[in-house]
Amino acid sequence: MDSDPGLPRSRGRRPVVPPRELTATFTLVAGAVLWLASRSGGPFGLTFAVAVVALAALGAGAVLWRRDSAERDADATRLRLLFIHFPDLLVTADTAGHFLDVNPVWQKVFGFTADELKAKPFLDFVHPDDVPRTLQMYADQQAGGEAVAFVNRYRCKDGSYRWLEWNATPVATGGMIYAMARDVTERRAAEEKIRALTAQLEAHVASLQAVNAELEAFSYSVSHDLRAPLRHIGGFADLLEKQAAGQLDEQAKRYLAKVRTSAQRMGKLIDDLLAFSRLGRAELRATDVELDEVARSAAAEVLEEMAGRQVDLRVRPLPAVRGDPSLLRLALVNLLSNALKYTRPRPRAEIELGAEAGNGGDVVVFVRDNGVGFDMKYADKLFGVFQRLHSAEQFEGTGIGLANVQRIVHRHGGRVWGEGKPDAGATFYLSLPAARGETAA
Amino acid sequence: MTGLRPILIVDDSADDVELMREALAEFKLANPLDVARDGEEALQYLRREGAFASRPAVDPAVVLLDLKMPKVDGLDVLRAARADERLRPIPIVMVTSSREEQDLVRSYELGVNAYVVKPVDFAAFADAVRRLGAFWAVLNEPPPSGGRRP
Repeated sequence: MDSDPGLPRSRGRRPVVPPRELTATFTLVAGAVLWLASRSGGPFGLTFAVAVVALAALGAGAVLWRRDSAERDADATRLRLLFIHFPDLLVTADTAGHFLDVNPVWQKVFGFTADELKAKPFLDFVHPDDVPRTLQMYADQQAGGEAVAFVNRYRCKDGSYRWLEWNATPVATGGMIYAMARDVTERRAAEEKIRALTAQLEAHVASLQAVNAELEAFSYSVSHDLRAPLRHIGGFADLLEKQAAGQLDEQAKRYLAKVRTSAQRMGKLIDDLLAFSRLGRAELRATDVELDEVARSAAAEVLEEMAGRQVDLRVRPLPAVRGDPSLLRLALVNLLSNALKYTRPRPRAEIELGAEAGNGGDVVVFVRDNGVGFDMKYADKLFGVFQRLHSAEQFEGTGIGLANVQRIVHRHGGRVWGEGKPDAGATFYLSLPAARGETAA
Repeated sequence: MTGLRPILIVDDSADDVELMREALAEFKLANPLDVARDGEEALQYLRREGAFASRPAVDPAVVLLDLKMPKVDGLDVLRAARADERLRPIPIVMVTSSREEQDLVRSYELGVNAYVVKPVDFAAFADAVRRLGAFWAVLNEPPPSGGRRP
């Protein structure tokens, strides 16, 4: 029949010594004394015994009463200490709108002494804007309602206000209200800050989405509207050549051919630029990727470019990485195709695709070739859109390949870089996050 | 059936229309070439309304439909034609500058018969147009004309 030791005990119900035991002992002793007295015989003996028992009963009663009273004092002290040291704001209020008792936290929070707080109706301390709501809550309380997480502002001695969150229970006896409040000013400020930041973030996202939509519309328009005039330039140059074939000299025919190839070249540039822009917008579907498989498939794709050439393409064992397989494949195709292109002057091209461990668990994939290489002082230009380190006559292409590779790797959170020497080959590196399942497997 | 079915080219670019004419002329295609300059005209042509009210009651062998046009664009024409019970069987081919995925997806969703990207290179473009003409005007068996449905 023990109650929770953390809770104050209710008065009078629980004496220190259980009454049943005390009564039993008392009955036993009294019985024994009376029996002895009756055995010794004589009225005096019995009278004496009765007196002894009566005195004992009185004594026991006194002991019980004193123990009970001491227990009651201890309960009150505990309750008082609880009230004084409770970390939240505790208060009792009467039906007339005055505080009856406030715990010391009130003074700590608001600067007013308990007497100052009790001297005026508590509504005097409530922020004017919160008075109607507070009155309503107070009325609900008196009608027997509970207040749960009711929030209003109370004035401090310095004139500032602090937010309180209330939980209150009406107690039927005497129409008093027992309430507990918590100072939530800091919490509300933090929440306000979070709300402001969230709103800011949402605004950023909205503007990014707008920019993205604009880009989308832009590339759509480029795709449609810029191609048409090119087709017309090329088409009418072609028709002109046919129409005037007999009247054109070689020089004029050469000019017309230049018009046509330029239109075609620009068409290719537009296509490349659109593909590059799509790479930036396409959704990244990241999974654990077996790079071995991706490399095999990429090597198969560039097989055609090796036709009629001596190529020693070595694909080393590659680890699994985390990424989008189709984008990674595109990156490797670009790198292999690049290596094939720039080794063309070599009688025997040597290309190696491999991987090594990078920093922080990353995987570094490299493609090395024995091609024409490049001067490291132009290394920063390697990955720019339409940046080329060779003329179109030497090596064909628009200069989008390595830009695509860089965009793909950046979207994976990785890095690309190149090392080379003029006429002594080049190596391109890309760092990629390792596969997640690798450690678990 | 009297005479050959026409091919309807719907394109707002006079240059593209001329290039297509040239390409088809080289192929010596006998079918007449009709032209609508935007989506609105295309629908009037197909429904024989407005300027096309007196057009013979023969549906085109194929409609070569540009996608990006002012006012009523290619997708609008396609949608309207597919929603019209009488026009629904007419073969429609998108012939457009762009291979934007969204256009492809929407065209097929709306029930286009084919989607062809106009190559920038004229030789390739002319070849594409000739093949389109050969397939739709010669090889393909069109639905019975006059709107009667099988």
